[in-house]
Amino acid sequence: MKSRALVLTAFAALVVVQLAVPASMIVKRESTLRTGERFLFKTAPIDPYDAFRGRYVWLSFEAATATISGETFESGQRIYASIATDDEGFAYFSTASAAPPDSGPYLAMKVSYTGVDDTVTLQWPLDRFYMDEHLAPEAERAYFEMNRADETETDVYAAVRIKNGFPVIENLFIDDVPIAEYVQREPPAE
Amino acid sequence: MSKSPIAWLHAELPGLVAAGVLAPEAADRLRSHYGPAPETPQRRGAAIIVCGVLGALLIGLGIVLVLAHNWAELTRPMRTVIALAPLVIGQCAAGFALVARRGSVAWRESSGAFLVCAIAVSIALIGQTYHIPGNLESFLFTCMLLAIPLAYLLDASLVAILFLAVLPFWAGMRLESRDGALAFFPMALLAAPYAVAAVFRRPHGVKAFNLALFGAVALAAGLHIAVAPALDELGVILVAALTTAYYLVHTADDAERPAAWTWPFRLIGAGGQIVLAIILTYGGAWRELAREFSLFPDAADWLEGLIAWAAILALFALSAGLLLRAVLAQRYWKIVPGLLPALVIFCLAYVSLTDDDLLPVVVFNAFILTLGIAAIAYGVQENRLFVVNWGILIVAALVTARFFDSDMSFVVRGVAFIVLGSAFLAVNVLWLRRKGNAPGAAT
Repeated sequence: MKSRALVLTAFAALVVVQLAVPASMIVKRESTLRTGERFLFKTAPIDPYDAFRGRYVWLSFEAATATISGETFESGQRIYASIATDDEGFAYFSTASAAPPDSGPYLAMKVSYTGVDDTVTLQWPLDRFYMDEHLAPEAERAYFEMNRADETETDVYAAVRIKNGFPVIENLFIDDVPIAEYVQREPPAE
Repeated sequence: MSKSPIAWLHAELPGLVAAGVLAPEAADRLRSHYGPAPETPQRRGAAIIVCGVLGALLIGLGIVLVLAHNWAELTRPMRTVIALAPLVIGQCAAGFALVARRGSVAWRESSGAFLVCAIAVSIALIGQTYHIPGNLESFLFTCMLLAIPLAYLLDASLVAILFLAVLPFWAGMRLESRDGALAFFPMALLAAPYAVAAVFRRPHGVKAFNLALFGAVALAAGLHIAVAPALDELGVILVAALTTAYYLVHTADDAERPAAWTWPFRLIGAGGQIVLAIILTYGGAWRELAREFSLFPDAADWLEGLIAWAAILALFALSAGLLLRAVLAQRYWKIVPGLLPALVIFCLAYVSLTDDDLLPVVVFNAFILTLGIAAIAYGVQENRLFVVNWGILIVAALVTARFFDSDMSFVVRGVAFIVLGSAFLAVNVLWLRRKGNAPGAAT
């Protein structure tokens, strides 16, 4: 009976741990989505062959560099990029440092590589946007076409909520319309 | 007549016919008189378990698919609830199995397997809900850690098998991401106590066989992934020692009834030895080994190099110890395959010092030929058709390799084949003559 009680107690503890892992993922992200600061980051053109993997759109962001002041960084090292907003309301990274800034919004990222002119190229912690697989082909086409440089004035951007440097994607927009709604509105390509 | 004596009779008839006690026709009449052998309780129990597991998995996957149909229409809170639902259902099923169905293997195995899948599905669905970046390595790591305690708590071998099946893939991913695949060893230790205890509790059972099969594959793959890159060309010694140790695994009562758990090791070991030896019959392989050979390979750091060498020495010592044990148990037919690691070390040293690849090629051709002929002879002596066929397969593999070996001239190959074929024919003639002269042989 003692061993049975021990097994049941251990199982109960395991149940708590198994629920705690997904629950912590949910709580952290829900908290960020509800109370985090909202930023709009423009997306960048990507290889159309790799644009869609299964049920998600592969994301790439225009804001991918920041200025560093004298510090040296190694590839893969954690770095904190301060966020600023341009005249059109889109976010970009102004400076980056090894520690979180004392004030202002920032994003925890990783260093991709360091340039020769006191700039650092950053590795985004977000890389995908999941979608309904039935809308996927049109979303892929629209996302790729609207991201092509100098061929369209349509803004493609992601709304990202950030809290204490931790980001969660809220939605992906084409021309201020959520992408799922956009592809359902637009006629299919010939 | 009750069922178990009928099963006993069916099991006895082949032996009685082979010993000449009963004529084959009489055995057939007995079989038709008593009917076919009844399904054993063990087979029925296994069928129930398999059906239970498949049913649970299919129900779980079906639930997920039905819910996923309208995924895009659901709000985020609803998706979160649905994502956690399989996990909660699985935990309830496992809890019920522990509390009210502790004696039912089907309940424990199927609820354990379902819960493992539910853990993975829940985390994946939450990832889709919040657009979490994918990292398959960390995803598998989390799932494995959350799942493996179930094997101990539920005594569910399927959980351990799923863990062992995923482990080499996870280790391989760590190799690609340069995080180091040495983490394979501490992760393997999470499942090892359960697997070893289960195997030795019932060494002749299906559970023992399955755990040994997946454990043997996981260990071989994981060792290769974790250690071989640091060894470079010395990895050939690792492979030789590992396959030999596998092949030499046996238990004390093997002569009467080989333990089920030894079969996967022996089969993998025997197959691995043949494949390695065939490769080493090519001069090109030895020239490549000699060109790149170094006693101090370029490991990522000293710890990796130390662990790699420790693995080689440990496996070599294990294979040598098992060979000695086999010889002391008078299993002399294991001597030739047991010498593989020593032959590899000798030939590797020889070719690195002399740059001559002819001797190693001759040695390994002779090794495989000896293995094949010894297997055929042993199989004929012990009247074991499987072993005879295995020996024929070995010789056939060698013949095929030499037939297409462009390093040897047509004349040399032709002469070798004629000599070998003549030897087989001569043995055949001698064997038939011996049988013809034996007392009681038919004229």
